[in-house]
Amino acid sequence: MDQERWQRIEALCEAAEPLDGAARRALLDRECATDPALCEEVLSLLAQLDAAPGFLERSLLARTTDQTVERGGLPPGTSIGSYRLQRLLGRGGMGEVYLASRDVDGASQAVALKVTRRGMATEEVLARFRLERRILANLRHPNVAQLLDAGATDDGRPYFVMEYVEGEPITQWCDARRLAVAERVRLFQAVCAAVQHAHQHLVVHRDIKPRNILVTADGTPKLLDFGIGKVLSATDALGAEVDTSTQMRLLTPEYAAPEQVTGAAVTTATDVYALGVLLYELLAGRHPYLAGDESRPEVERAVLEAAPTRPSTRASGAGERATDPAGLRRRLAGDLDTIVLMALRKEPSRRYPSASALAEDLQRHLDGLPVRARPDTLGYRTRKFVRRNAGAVIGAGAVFAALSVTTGVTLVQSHRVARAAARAESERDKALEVRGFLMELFGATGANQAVGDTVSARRLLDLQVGEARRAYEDRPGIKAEMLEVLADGYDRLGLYGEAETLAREALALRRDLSGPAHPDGSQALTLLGWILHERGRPNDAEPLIREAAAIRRAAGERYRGDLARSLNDLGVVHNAQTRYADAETVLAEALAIRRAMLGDGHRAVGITANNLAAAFYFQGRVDQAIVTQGLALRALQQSVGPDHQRTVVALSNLAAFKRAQGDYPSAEADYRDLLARQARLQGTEHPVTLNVESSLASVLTERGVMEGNAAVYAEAESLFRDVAARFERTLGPSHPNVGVTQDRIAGVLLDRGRLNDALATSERALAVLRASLGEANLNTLRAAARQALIRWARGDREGAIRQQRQVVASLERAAGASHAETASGQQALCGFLLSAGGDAAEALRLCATAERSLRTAPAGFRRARTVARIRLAQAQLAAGNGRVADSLMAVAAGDTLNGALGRGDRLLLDSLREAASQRR
Amino acid sequence: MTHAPDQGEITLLLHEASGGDQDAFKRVVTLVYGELNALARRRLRAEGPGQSLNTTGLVHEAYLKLVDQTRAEWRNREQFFAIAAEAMRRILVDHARRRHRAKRGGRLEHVPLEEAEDAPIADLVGDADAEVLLALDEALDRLAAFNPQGARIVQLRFFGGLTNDEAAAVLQTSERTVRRSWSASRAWLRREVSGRVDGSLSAAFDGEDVPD
Repeated sequence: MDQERWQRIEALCEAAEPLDGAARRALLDRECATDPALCEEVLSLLAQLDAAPGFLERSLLARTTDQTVERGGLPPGTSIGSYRLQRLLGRGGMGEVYLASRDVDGASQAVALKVTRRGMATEEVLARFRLERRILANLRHPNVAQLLDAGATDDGRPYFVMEYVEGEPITQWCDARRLAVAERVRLFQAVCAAVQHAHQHLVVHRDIKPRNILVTADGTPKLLDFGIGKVLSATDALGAEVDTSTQMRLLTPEYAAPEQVTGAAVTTATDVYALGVLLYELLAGRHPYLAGDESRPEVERAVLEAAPTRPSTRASGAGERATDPAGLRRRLAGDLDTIVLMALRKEPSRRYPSASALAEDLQRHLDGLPVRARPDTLGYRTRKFVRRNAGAVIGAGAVFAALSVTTGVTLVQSHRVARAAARAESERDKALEVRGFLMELFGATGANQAVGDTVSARRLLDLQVGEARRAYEDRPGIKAEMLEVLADGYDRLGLYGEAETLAREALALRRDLSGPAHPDGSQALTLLGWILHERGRPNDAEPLIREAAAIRRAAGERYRGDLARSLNDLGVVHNAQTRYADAETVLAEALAIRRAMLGDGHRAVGITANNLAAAFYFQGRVDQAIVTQGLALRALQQSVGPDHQRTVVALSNLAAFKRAQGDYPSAEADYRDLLARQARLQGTEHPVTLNVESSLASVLTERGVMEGNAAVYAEAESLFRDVAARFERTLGPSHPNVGVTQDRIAGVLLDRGRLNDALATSERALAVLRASLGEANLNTLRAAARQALIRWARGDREGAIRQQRQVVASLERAAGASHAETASGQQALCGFLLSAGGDAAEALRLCATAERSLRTAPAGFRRARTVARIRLAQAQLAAGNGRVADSLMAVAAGDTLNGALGRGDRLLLDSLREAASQRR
Repeated sequence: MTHAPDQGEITLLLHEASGGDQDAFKRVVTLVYGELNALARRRLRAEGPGQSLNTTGLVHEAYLKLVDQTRAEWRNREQFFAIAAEAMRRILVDHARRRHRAKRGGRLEHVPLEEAEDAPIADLVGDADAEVLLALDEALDRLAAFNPQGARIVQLRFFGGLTNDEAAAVLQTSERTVRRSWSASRAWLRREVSGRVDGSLSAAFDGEDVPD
């Protein structure tokens, strides 16, 4: 060939390339009529471009280094286990997929091998992973790509080996073949059957999407990656507790269910939702509410909030469905609209109960029978949700109330609240939730029994225990693994006794197998320790977790992630033991390890930082608590996202710290932010929203006390009244939350000087609280103490003193003589006695006790402590101990400089100092 | 490893090479080869997973390091890039040869990156790629016989990581000319390579990601 001819070829290629077949041919016939060979040459070259438009497009070095460095990829020929990699098939958020082969009896078997990208798997995580693998291997269904094998690479990255499926994503496959709606529905039903099969074997997919469903050349749909989403989240579980919440960040948000976005329990209903999204796309040719150009936060928001439009109103791609637009609309309107929207409901319990129920309803539609799905009714949602969660509200209330008065709540507690919420749901939902949990943990090992909705979780666990003991009698290592998981299962059901027994059995097995100092046993130790901690026995838990930590420390670098986990747990236990300085030491080390290993944006860093902040807070080092909590919040925002439950709790802790510090404007801003977010995410009647709103109103009240600001009081009052009304509407008038809120309203009314209203409101509050919680409950006693103050303000000194005496006596019994709550009550009584000229000796004794108790009280009692000092000074002054009083007043004056006193308190201190100087 | 090149030396060589001195050109390519090799290895060691190592970045870094900016009399910076692309091609093809031999010998050594002190960067090229790469290298020489400009464009783009615009600047021609020649040249190359490599062409060179 000469250069000139080549120039001509280039020009013809350029002109003909954009044209399609006939036009291309015509152009070339015209251009090279005299030289048919030239024409053939150009066509031949164009065929190459058509076949591989991207050939050589990416620079070789960029390609190879991407593959090895960025992708963490492996060169072809690499051996993993007994597999040899052939080539990279593709990559996704979780890792790479290779075509690989294994020699079986001389023949080469082609498989798909998926290596995860993350290298952070700890030994503990890998143990769990091995168990999962056995479970998943039991799934056998013609529409499920069989999991063949799994393991970990030499550098600890989990890999899965699956049946190699050659096919097209289901949506593409249907479009390419112009499948009509009914044919699409039938294909979809096969997918449902695969999902149902997995559910019966207690496996939830969690990541159903078109790219995970390939249709082979013969038209068989195959689901890929069953259960892998779960295992992958586990490989990231460096968290403070065994975490079954989905690692949202690993998933494809477009197909995630609302409960996956918020981190709530993932169940079979989660897959039903994803099937709904898939069906929507198959029928209407687009996503239920996304256009495809949204940012990740926008997508997550839409998943939580956007109501999907009926598929018939947004249908596109009629041509690909062998009809015209009007025909497609008619075909979808009615039954199919209703069925799809039912699968897509935001609340798991209101979707189809199973994948097969969805498939059956579609069958009824195909058969021309009436379908079971019903259109959603407006207003049903919130009302129903709040009612179902009514039982949870006390729990949530307790968390937030605890925040406001005594503690920084740890994430661990919030986790428990979430569990309580799950437990409080109706029996059916509960069964669903627990089954979901079991599905995550167990597979089909022996569970051939049909698992209907009626099978109690307890029974299922009992069956599994028997199975584990029988089937693995001669394999103690696996038996120990099973028992550990089952212990965890009982723990989650609140069956701590059984949990403890199994954990001890597992521990004994481990020790027999590998000796007391082997890291394998440290997992059972950790588990047992955690169960004891949850049973409220931190002193029994501590030595176990400490031992696990020591074993892991001795085991070297490889166990550093596990060590951090143990230290974190130990810190949580120390916090529970009120050994805050010890908690600080171990949590600081855990945090340092995690930051170094994982970087500041990791969830595990957020969890440990949150716990460390609590340890600072409990030691009264509020400034450090705030700094550390800031770190926690950033880590959680980055890892689980701003709308995740953990992040919401972390923000509310931060606000509580700021409140304790007396930084009311900043706390107020945080609560307002939190309130807006909660209201958007979960609605204005959600119990957590109401609690946040209540906290905001409390902060406003405190600002009112500090500033003597009437406008702030007014807003606080109206917020509290709103909250009370919503609690009443959603929970009924006799719910304790209604009583607690009315008590707070009474407090604002007292501060505003509306004493008659205050007393009447307080009477109502007390009646509700006494009836619902009993006389000796802390909330009831707080309301009673408030009523004593109101009586005092109204001039009913005797009544006030009588009531406050009762309160103090009850507190001493209920909370203990030196509890900070008791001290607050004593201090108030002391004030009454001093002012009324009552028993001076009693007053002195009360104030001295209170002041002593409050010295070590949490930061939330700062104001109470300072007031106690002033009262004690007053009592000492009255008793003639002027010098002691001077010291106390000096200390109290120092406290006031730090903003620990309200306006009224400062006036009292000033008058007291005046009196003291006059006396001298 | 080669001795660290002196900035003045390489600047002088570039000057001579731009004047058409083939000997100077070869020497400068050798120097650039050594430097790029070393740079790439260091980068791969220093940057953990998640970092991409792009050729252009590497070439820029080598340029700044090798050329005495105060005495850069040569025509323009792009010439250096052209030389770097030539060096890259040699690096990768040398490697592919080694790799190919190793495979025929039935032995594959997988050297972890951290320890691969003296391993050529192109240890990163896989076996399947290596075979295609050798075929491509030979085909490129044949292409140069009747289409020297197209061969240079492929070298600049595929081995040097340059864009069409950058390649046009090096060759002092228009972007459209580059685009036209690029299309036809790689079509020709693909046909050549498919004929010489057993089985189907490595999908990796087609630059498409298969969905997982």
